[in-house]
Amino acid sequence: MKASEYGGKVPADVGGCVYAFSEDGEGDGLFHNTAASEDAAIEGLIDDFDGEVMPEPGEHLGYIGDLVEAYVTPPDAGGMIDEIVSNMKNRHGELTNDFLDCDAAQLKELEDEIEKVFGGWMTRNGLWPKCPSIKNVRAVMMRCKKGGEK
Amino acid sequence: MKASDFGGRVPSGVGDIAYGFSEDDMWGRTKHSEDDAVGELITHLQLNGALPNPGEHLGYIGMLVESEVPVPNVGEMIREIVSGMEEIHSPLPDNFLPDTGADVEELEDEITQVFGKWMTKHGKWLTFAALEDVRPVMMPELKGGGT
Repeated sequence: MKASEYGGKVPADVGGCVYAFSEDGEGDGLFHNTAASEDAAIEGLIDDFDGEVMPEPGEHLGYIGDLVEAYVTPPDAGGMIDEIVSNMKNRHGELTNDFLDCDAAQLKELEDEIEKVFGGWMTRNGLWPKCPSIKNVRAVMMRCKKGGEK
Repeated sequence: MKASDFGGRVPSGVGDIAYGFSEDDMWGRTKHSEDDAVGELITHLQLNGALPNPGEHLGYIGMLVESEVPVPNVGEMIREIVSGMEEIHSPLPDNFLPDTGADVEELEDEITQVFGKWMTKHGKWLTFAALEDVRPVMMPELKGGGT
């Protein structure tokens, strides 16, 4: 679930890109540079060479990733039911086997309602993540410049 | 939370008094009042010629009440969400999603409402009553001085 689905505040840099010459294989940790677009990120990578030997066209230039809204794991309604049943058994001993048994449609209905309440609460209290997530980390190669220049 | 708080079906027998000769022997024996329950214990023992003297142990009685269903544990729910997110996003800021405090109590109230209404809609409340306040009863002085 995401802030935008519940009217919550979306971090300003969502939609932009991060870039770095190297990354740690996890897609995070080394991305301190942000840019408004992929093209701007590539320009940023090129600028970072700053007098050093530039890669040839087709050679490794760096990595970029997309800044997306952080995904918040939804509440686990099934887990909540299991915990209630377990607490009831501790209190009352063995219960009827079908106590709080539900089919998939009933569980989905409960999940949806709890998610709606939880999402509204996150929005009301300004609790959505303030930072975006990095997705789609990819290597980028040096492009040919227009007119065949490097 | 209880069925009656959410318009759910309350088990028949709630409010009655259960009775028995031992604490394990009380299910299925109910009367509408404590006096009636004690009267049944006396009658049964009288028929068996085993009526105790006044002040001696007669049996046990207890109250049938609506079963209380624990409210959803919202603090635990939040901790699981944070843990799930840390698996995806690596460590989160310490203050991301508080799991205690007034805000959490507000969420717990709302989720309890959702849960209770869902239980009522789908008939998920317990269909039997809980036994509480089980206590021994002594043989009373019978009117007219007889035993």
